[in-house]
Amino acid sequence: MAGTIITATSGKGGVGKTTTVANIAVALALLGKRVVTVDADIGLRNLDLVLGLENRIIYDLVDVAEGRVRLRQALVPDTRVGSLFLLAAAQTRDKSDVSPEQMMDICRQLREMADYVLIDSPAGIEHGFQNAIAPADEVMIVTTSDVSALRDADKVIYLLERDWRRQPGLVLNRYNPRLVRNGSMRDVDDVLDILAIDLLGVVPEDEQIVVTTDRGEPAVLNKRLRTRQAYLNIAHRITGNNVPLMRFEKPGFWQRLFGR
Amino acid sequence: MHPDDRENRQLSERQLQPNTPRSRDGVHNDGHDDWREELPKDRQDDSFLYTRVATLLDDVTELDDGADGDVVVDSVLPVNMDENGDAMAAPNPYFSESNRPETSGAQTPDSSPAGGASSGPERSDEAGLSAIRIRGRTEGVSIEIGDGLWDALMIQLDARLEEAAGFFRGGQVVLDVGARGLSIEELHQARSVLTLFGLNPGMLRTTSPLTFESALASGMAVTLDEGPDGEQITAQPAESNQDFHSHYVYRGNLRSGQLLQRDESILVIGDVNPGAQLASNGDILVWGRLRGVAHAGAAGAEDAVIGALLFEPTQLRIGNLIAISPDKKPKTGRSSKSQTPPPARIAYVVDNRILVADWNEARRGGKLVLRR
Repeated sequence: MAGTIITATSGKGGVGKTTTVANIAVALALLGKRVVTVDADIGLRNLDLVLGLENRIIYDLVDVAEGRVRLRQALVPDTRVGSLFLLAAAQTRDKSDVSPEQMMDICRQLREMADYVLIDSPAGIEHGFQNAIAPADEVMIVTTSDVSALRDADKVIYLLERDWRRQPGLVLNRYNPRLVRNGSMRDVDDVLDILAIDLLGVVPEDEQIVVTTDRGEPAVLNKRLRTRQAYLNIAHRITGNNVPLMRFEKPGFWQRLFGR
Repeated sequence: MHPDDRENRQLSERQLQPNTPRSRDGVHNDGHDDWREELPKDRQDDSFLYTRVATLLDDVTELDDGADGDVVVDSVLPVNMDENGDAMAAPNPYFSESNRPETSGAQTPDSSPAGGASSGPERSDEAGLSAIRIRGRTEGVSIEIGDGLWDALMIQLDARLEEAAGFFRGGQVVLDVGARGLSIEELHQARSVLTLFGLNPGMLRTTSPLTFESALASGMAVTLDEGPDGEQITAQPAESNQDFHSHYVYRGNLRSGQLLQRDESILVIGDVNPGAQLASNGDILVWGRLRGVAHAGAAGAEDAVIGALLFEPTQLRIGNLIAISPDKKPKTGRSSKSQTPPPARIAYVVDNRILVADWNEARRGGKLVLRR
């Protein structure tokens, strides 16, 4: 059975696309799915770092696109979870070295191998973005709730609906319930009010994410982190299980977490 | 590198367990953990322990429908062959056609004439017949190449040298290409024709800055004649530019995304950051920090070495062997800054494995050699 190709994009940089892709990919793999992650950010690759696989890369996306190696040779297996693979971007090349057609061709092959193909799009709405969107069955918008991220996300949604006829799903990242409670951050409903797309999940802000990302150990593998459940929930929703949204309203939880 | 070391059993404890082909249906999470457990405790966090990535392709079949046959993982993963023995388009990822702007098969003289994208004015082959002038001189052979399609000219050059039947063999050649703008590939083509007939492409003369750049990049000695004024810029990239034992010196830092690829050995005076890549047909030495990917002996020479003052490469490749750094937790913060600098290290191949040793111990007279 052919797999689903999901592209994560955001417009704005730094909202956590790569971290989100890495964690959702690991979460899907933990649910027993065969997952391939593709880093479409050629020239500024990061996904390999977040997954902790940098030193295992021998061939990359551009090698495959240019026919130097067969696709299977370029797939880097994850060291912790079975059935998770990375197709890395080339660091020494640039976005224009791969065409949307080549991306589609590669993804067509990946679709046959995996249940889910997750593509990490570069920031922006230029060539690299087009490459990442072209093969996608589903698009996942990653955004934080600040005004500039929302503005860019809105633009991307507009482009997706206009040029690609896609209805994207939303991952609201770095959600801070404490700020929401005291009224200084938009809550989920406000964000959905603006963007008006389906919600895939909300990932609470957690400073430990910075640490795990830096070590190349996706947070979803760390049982002590609350974000783990958020990513697992998103993975469940992607596989079609209807799980309720995490509840952030309980003040007790955050007080316990921060000890104050 | 150290032929005497080959028998040295002491070495083996510093090396990794040989990569035995693993059953693909086994548990996936093995790789590093395995070898680390098998090592003596005091060795476990030594950063000079490296393993080869023979397992990289191994698990890929789990994903595949299996229609394409089994992946057989040998103890050494050849970079330039896939497992079915299909020769790949290039000997290795660096010296393949990537990163070269004009690639259309310019290496073979009989390839399509479209290859010379940047060749000079295009004329018929006949016009080119007289375009090659070969003259013997006291100091060597002078070959002038005039107008015409570069590919066709190369075929003619080949024919002319064939006629000469070894008359010029062993001579130093001064190659004059005039105002023609040549790419690295096209120069390479000329060089391979010359070497085929035992000629030594010693010096290139040109009036084109583009050719001048290409020649420098491909490690040829070149003279740029700047028109009638007679102003001459001569650049001699290295003492002897033909063999791989000469050096290309790079001063400065190489940052993420930078690729330095040379025929000669590379000496970097500066740091090589993670994400940067070095590739050389000879040795690679870094007077500084090596944190990126280094590929020595990229054309297959396994006697090449890689050395650095601070030796923390993401990945090492020597010839067709690949080694990756142990998955160490990156140390961050102030506590990790050690007082004494770590020793300089050098990597070389012993018994088909990449061995990384402190320079102090690996050098002649060092512990690795003495303890026999």
